[in-house]
Amino acid sequence: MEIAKRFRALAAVSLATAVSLSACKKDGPEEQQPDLMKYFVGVEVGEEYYMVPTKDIMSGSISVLGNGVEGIAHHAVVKDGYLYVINGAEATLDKYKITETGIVKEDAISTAAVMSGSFARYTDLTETNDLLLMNFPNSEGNAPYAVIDIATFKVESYGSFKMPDVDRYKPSWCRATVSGNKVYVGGEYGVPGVFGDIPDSLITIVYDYPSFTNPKTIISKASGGSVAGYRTKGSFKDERGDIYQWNLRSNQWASNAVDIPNTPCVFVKITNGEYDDGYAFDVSAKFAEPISIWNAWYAGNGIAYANILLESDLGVWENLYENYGQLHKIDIYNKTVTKLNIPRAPLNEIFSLNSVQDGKFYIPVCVKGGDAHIYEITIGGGANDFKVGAKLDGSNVYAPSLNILN
Amino acid sequence: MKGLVFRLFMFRFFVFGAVLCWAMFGGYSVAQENVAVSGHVSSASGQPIPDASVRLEGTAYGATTDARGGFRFLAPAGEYGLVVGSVGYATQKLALRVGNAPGRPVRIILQETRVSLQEVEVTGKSEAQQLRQTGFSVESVETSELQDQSIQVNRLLDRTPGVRVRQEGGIGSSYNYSLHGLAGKAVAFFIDGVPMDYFGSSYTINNLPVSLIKRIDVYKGVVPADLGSDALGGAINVVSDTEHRNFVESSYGYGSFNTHQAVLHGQYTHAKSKFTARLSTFFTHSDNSYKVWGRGVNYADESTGFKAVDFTKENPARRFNDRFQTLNGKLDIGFVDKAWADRFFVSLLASTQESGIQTGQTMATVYGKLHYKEVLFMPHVSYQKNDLLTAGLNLNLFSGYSNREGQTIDTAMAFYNWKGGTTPHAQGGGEIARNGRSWYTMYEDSWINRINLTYRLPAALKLGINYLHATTGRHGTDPYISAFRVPFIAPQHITRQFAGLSLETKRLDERLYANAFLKWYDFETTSNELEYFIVDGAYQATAVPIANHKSNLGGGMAASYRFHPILLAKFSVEQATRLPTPTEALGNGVLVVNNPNIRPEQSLNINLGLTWGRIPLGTRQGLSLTTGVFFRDTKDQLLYRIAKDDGVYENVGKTLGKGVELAAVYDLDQWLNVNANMTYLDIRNNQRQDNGVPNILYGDRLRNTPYLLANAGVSANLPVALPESSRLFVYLHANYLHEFYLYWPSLGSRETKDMIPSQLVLDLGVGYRLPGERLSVAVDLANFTDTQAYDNFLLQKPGRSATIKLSYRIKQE
Repeated sequence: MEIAKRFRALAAVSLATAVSLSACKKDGPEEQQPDLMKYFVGVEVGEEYYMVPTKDIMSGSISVLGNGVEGIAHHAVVKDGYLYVINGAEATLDKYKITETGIVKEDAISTAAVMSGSFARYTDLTETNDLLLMNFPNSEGNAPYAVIDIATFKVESYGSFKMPDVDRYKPSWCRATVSGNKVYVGGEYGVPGVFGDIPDSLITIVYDYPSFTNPKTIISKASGGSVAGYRTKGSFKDERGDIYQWNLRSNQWASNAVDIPNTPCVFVKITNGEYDDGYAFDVSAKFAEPISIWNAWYAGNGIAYANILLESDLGVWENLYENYGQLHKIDIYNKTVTKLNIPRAPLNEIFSLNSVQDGKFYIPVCVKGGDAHIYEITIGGGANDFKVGAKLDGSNVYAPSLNILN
Repeated sequence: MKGLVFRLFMFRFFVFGAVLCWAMFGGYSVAQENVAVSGHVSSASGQPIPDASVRLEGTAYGATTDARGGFRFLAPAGEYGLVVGSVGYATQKLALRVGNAPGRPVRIILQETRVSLQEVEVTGKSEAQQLRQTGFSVESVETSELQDQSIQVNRLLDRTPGVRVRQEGGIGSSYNYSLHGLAGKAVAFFIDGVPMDYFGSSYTINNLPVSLIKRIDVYKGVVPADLGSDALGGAINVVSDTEHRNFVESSYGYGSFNTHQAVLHGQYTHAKSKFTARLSTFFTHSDNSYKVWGRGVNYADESTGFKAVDFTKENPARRFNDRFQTLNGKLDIGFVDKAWADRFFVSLLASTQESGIQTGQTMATVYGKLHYKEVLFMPHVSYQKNDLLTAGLNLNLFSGYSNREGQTIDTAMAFYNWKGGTTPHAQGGGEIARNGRSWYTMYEDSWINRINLTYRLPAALKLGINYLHATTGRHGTDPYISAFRVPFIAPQHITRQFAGLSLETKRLDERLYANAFLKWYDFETTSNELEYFIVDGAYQATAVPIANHKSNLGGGMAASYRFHPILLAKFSVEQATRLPTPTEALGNGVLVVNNPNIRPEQSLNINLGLTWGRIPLGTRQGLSLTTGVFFRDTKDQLLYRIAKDDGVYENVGKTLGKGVELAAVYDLDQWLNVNANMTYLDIRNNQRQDNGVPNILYGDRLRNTPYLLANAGVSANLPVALPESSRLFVYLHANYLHEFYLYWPSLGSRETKDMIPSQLVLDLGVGYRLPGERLSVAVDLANFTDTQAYDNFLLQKPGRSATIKLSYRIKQE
């Protein structure tokens, strides 16, 4: 009996301990996920820039008054609990740790040292989890670049690559998308000092990545203009492994009023290292008058969202900053265009939107002279499949970026 | 290049001539051994009387009292009558025996009086006194005590209430004056009433040696019409010494960072013909190789994994491309004291400058070879005559031509870092061009003409008329870059005109002073932009001219009233306009681009001030207190907007500023002076709408603008036992700047905002003038606590530096 008593007592203690330990394991601190800041809204007030972290973009308001990190707003990459951003004032690429209350600077790489003789204009996240820093080519066609490994935050390679001339045309702008061991550098070509004299084709230079060697020029005759992009990159890679590009040409950019009708706004496809001449989506054909695309963002499943302006609204450059931009859904697989019933606004100054989450695409829309909100758009939905989210400052405050920690 | 060679030849010829003149003066000496006579002149209330005449009767020996009423001159031994007079005081005569050795200083007290001159009642004061007692908010900074010291004018004026001088770096670096919060080009600079805008970038207020300056008048906010120009926030007028005496002065200073400064200054007036030749030359060189560290001063290469590693105070970096060198010469030849002219001079100003450019907008960007060169020639004539044709009609004329050639040389083929090392790159050369090498030459030609007329009217009124016309043209060349990218490839022009009309009176036994004025401003620019047209099937760039013309009227008044012999109240108001400068309108061809649509700045400025003093504290001590409040309502303010590669001056909107300043001066027996002042500014963004939409920054404190400043200092002519006619002078000065945000204070979280930190900078100096007053030696320690000082974001100023200066002077008394 005594043994049985002792056994029962031992069993009871063991059970209690097990329950207790089990409870500890289930409720212990190591199981709690920190409630990190998740959304990062870039804010521009005049010539000042701020990155405002927030946990909610669908309700309430997001204001830069008393909030946000100074000096950064445009080109940001959010990945694995960190935010990476170019710091122009100190010529560095800064690494911020995302916390429950904001972002804290942890490390910095000197862009002055790796972008020698130039500066880092862009940073893009590649599919190999690198940060690719770039700038335009100079008059001799040399474009600086640097590749930063995100995991170690170390410089993997840097230098400059030479973009070749194409006939009498020289490169003046470029931006790249990495796919496998190749990097596709979309170009803008023209004759220096002569506005509007552009080739009647789209030009991309393909290099080995990350060495930026073995350049190969590929050309599409689908249209003319720049496939480097504007504020946002001019190319993206879909889930099938193809690269799509959109072209920018306007009477205000890389073209002229005479050539506009002959150079439609298109989406073209690069497959296996070459332009797919069997694919070209003529977006212009969906409109009754000439248009131009000033930024497009890929949201997934063949759906991109593009800022489309009527050329007739762009008589002067300043009109780009008026309420002439209209967001459209572009179905690049089914070749359809859907105008979204959200307000017209200057969307041309949005630099980075890494803002897809749970089948939704988010974009800040700052109507000049009106309200500003985050819009939640159901990817693939119709013209009215969107919700109006958090209110932004509006007035003379513009939101040039939105990045989401996924 | 041919033009440059010619200019260099001319400059060397000019300098040779200057040296020759000096050699001729060097032969001049005082024949007889003289003895020092010194003393002090004050009023019955103990106020020192500056600019009083102290003469030995029947001789040419004498002097004028300095700001503290002190005087000192040399005379042969003998029995004399010492005659002391000052306008507004009864002349006093006393017997004086000058022995073979210097005697004790003489103390003279003058009784205040009034004299009647024809119909005009004059209660005279010295020029400086008159200035201080007008209704204008003006500080008159006397340099007499500091003539022997080695101190930059910027540092001197930075100690003045309401003034903040923001300097980017060491000697020769860019600077920006702020008067009651209105800064930059809102502050106009003059030398003897002539705008300094056309004197080039070497002959500037900060480069002028103190020994060439008699005093500096600082007008805050409201500027009199006779100082003819468009000064919105205030004006600084450098007054040079124009006494008609024969002298030669030379000095040489050597200091930290391999700094050399040499000055040669002399004047000769022929006793009978009154032919006068005057020469002022100075040479300044500094490596500016001071230490920098901290944020923005970093280093990265493969050894650091390209991580930016900041230099520290213990392991600092040194500036290595900041060398500054300038040589300036000004020769005036003409006549004085003639029946047809009080002063008539034909003059030539010539200057060269060469300076390295170490950093970009912050120290994060380092340049290793980028540098700037400039050559300037400015022939000009000046004429002054009082009582021209009729009593009370005074005329002052100035006409000059300025030819400036500035070269920005950006041909480096490598990227530089703070270790001075280089990284070659394939970007085609150039450090700021970033798109290939550049050797940009800007040619600037200016004509400036000024007429200033005053006429004494009946009923104690004085009428003033002032007119200024200045025109500037710029064009540029660059052999390295495509023609379409060369700034000013097509000439651009700006013409600025100013006219002022003033009426001044003094009434009620001079207790009341009033000055009312009207001003007219006009400017016209022709800039251009390149546009492309198809000509014969090809695009051609054509410079399309853009004309811009604006006129404005302004006006104001200043008044003061003396309630009590030591209590003075001042009031001034002005609706002021400032026209864009050539650089603001046309750009500088390098880092500043043109703005064809630029508009003038305008501001309503109001000042109210009270001066109480000198309050006697017993028989030997005194105290002066000054306070002022001010109001500034500014619109279309021109601010420089920095972009990544360049910038542009833009009209940014409206600001509303209020502020207060306090100053106190204590003196003991005229040898010890203790002073302190502080200024508080509250300048807010007053722009309710921005391009038609509400402005969320409305009401925010103005960004990047200091708002709390303070100074304190003590200086003394030590009353220790010294050989007669020698002098030992010491000073200690503290300058405090309270922290302020670089960007709008309301935006972003406070803990992440960039700011210019609070700082306390201490300067110390000692000077000794040897017996005979010919030779003096001075030592100055600037920032002797080695404080890390900033006026601008991430642009560190020099730390501790020392300078020793020797001066030698020969004067004909």
